Amino acid sequence: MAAPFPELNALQLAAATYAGRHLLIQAGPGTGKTHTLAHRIAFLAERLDAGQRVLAVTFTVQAAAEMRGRLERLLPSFERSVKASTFHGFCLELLRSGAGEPFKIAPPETAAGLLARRVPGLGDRDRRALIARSTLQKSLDRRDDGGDDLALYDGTLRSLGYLDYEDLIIETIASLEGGALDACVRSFPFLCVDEYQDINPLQHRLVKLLARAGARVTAIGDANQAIYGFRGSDAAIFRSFTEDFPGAERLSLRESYRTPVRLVAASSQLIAAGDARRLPDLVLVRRDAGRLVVHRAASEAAEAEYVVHQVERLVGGTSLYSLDSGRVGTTAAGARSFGDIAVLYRVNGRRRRLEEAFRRSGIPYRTSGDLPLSRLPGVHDLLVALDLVAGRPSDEADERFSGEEVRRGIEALSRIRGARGVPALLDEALGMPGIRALMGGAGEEDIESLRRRALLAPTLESFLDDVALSRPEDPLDRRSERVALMTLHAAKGLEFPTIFIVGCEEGSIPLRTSGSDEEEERRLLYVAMTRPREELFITWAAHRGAVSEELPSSFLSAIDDSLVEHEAAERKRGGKDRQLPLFDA
Amino acid sequence: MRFSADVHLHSRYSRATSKDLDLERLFLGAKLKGIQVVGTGDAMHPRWLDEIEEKLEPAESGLYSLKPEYRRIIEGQVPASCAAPVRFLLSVEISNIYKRRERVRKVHNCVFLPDFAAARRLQARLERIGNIASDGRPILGLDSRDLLELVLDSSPQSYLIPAHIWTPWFSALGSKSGFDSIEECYGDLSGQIFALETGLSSDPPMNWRLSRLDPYALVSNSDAHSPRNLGREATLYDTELSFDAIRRALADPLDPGLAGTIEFFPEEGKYHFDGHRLCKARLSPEETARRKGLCPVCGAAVTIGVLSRVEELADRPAGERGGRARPFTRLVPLAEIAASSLGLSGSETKSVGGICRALVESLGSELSVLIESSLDDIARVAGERIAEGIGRVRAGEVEIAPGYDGEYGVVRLFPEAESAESRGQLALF
Repeated sequence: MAAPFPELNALQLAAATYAGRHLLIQAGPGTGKTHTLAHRIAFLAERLDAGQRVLAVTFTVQAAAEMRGRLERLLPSFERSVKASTFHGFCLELLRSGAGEPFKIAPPETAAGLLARRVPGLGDRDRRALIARSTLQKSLDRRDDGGDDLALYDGTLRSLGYLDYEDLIIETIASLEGGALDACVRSFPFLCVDEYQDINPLQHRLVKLLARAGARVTAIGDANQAIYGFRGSDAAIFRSFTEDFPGAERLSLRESYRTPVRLVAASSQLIAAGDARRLPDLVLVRRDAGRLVVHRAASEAAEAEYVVHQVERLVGGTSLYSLDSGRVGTTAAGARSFGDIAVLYRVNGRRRRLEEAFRRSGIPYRTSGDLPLSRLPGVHDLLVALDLVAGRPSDEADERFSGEEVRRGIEALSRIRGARGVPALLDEALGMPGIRALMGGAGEEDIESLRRRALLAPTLESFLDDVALSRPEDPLDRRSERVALMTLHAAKGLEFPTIFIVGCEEGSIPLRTSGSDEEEERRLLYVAMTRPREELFITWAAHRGAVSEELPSSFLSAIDDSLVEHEAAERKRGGKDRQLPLFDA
Repeated sequence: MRFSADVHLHSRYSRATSKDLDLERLFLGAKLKGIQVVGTGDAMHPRWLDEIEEKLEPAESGLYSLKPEYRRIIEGQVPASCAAPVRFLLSVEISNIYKRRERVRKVHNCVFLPDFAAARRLQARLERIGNIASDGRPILGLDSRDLLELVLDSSPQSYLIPAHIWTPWFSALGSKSGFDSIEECYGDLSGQIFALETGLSSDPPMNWRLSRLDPYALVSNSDAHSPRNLGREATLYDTELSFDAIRRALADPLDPGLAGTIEFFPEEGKYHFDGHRLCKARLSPEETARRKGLCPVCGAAVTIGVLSRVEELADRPAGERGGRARPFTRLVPLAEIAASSLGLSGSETKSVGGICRALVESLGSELSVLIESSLDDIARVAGERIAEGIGRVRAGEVEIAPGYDGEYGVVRLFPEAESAESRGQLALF
């Protein structure tokens, strides 16, 4: 008989077709984690009874969308047999379908707005700290130790009819324990959890609850890539899988397909320097060396210019009309496009100089971590108005919508709400001058994005929920290539031919602040170093600000010098456009 | 009416352009060169578009004229011989750099817009996906096909013309990062492409060698980065003076409005031959083929120029006419003719400038001097030698060391004199 999935290697196949009860898959960087998980889901989907689905939990909304895309190719009718979602998305749907109290969702930005109104004495910084502490307590599943802070925070949200993201899980657990568990597990007999190393204790409790009621759990991830401890995630949960789920099997994917030889070696050395027992267990598939360049820049500004200059070289000349072969060079230069390149930094403060340099060059770039769709100017106002239409009043609406025209508009919409679908209701709202006037700052693409979501929403409430969980997206954004500027954290799960990691000074990577965990910082750099498919540039600035004299990150000393091309300041004009690798003799 | 148009050029907001490039001096340049419809260039740049909106006013449909208060600033420098009106047309060149089918593509596209509303609409879309404020010719990571879609969305009259389609590094058919056909580049929307810019390094007969280019109108523009280069190539129309009439002349193969083009000798263009600039290796297509594409100096692959690339894609022998063939005139810029006639190596000298000014002031715009003025009249103003030079250009009796790998070709009008001079120099030493 032919193998069910000829596109999988032996270890991937073993993991995808494991027939036992619970399974933990250790999947190092570039070993085909998502690929294997998609096949695992497809395998499980073939073993469902009528009316059942596989629940596939991803770390982000984008990852869920990507998973759905892969499943579509594997299983044409996957929508009937798989629910791919984040923990929050799954819980939200479960709560909405139940008979509980109605509620609205408060992302941190919304919670800040609510607190600002209800607790006027609190400054902006304190408010944000309060939100961070409260949500952390809940993520850690330690609500009992939350004290007055948590009481104030939760009390404010609840009194206004809001739940935050963690509450979605807390309320789901309560609802399941209150009797809905068996039905849930009957509907979702298989549970697959991606990025299991970054699961938090609250989510862990939910997974265990489902497993105790009979759900079969597949978890996949890489303990060396756990980077969300600061948000309550606990890599120990990954390591205790076989104890948490008795009888569980543990399998490893070992062939590393993404990363070229030098970068596997260098990143492995980084991990082993922290704890030799954690040395990644990888088999090299690629034979090419790849490039690892370490560049010392004189200053942050020079570092940013270096990055832009290299990007221009890699793309093969962007700013000039006339080129000649001498300028472009005859090596690999010119083989990259903007979408092939990402620049990563540890803290957002490092972004400004980069943005300045990119802006000057005219090279298109994007930054991630923009405001959520629901907080964009204009869009937010529309949503507050639609909340009223949905019968969900708020303080903000009372303050904002005192105008007669807006009032009348909202009343008119409320009257027709039952009779119209969401797209028609949205169009109606957008056609009202009073409502339209509120939305002055909204861009055409934002409105288009809302329209697309409205098409998919069965009810006004589900539309508002969906927008509350979404980031802005623009189909053109996705079509047009740009150099990606993002934090090391945001690079998780992504890959690019070329990666720059800037700001590798001691004190910045690892970041030394109160509560920072050196080993988590090490894993964070490991995650970043294993993103490139071809080449990695690590840069650091010898001077920052007026005085400070910086040293390169101590993490870099773990990397064998023979793997590294060292580059000091810019070469002289007319010099040879190649760096000489410094092999230590 | 008959008029000439040069609509692909740049403002001072583009990289590596002359700081002089404002609307007044574009107006002046167009007058002196004999261009009636001049592109604004760089119309997506926020500050330049603001300036355009401030200084221009609507004239004929879709065309704009310099407001009287700005015209007054510059009019004193316009000789009475250059009285023809000058109109502006909203235009911009965009550099699209993107990956398609695992190859990096770099294509320059010229976009033409019928009014400010269309320009502002397109600007609003583009500023979300790239940086339009740092370079008058913005760099976008957008597929050419997707740019075309946005252009068509901006107004039903807006249109896009692939720029200098043969240059190796930045064009739709270029050897380094282009495609093998216009259809491949613009995909399902390629039916909306109706004209191609041939660029300095190719001329209509070279383009006629590809039957797949038969459906397209062939246009020429200067791609000037300074007022001096304005009108060095141009497109001639014989139709109503309006945006629509120009568009129709290009879009409709049956419309008689497209009258022809003014061309460089293609050998003078920077990418006519193959080679390596730094190695000073200039190769004809035959030599390149003989050397299997490798440089005789450094041994690496040479930059394949326009002539080789045309040869590669051609399906007709040289000498046959293409589908929408129009008359064309090959010219050499007046300053270069003057310099070459006087045995000067540079064309930016005072004496050359003086001769050009005298000719334009007494006989008319540069294009009319080069094409229409009698050689007797020219001789009377500028001397026999220059009249002889212009006569040789008109007769095509020009010797050119072809351009390659970014190096312009070198024109010699009096090779016999130059060799005599160099013999003389040798004798001196």
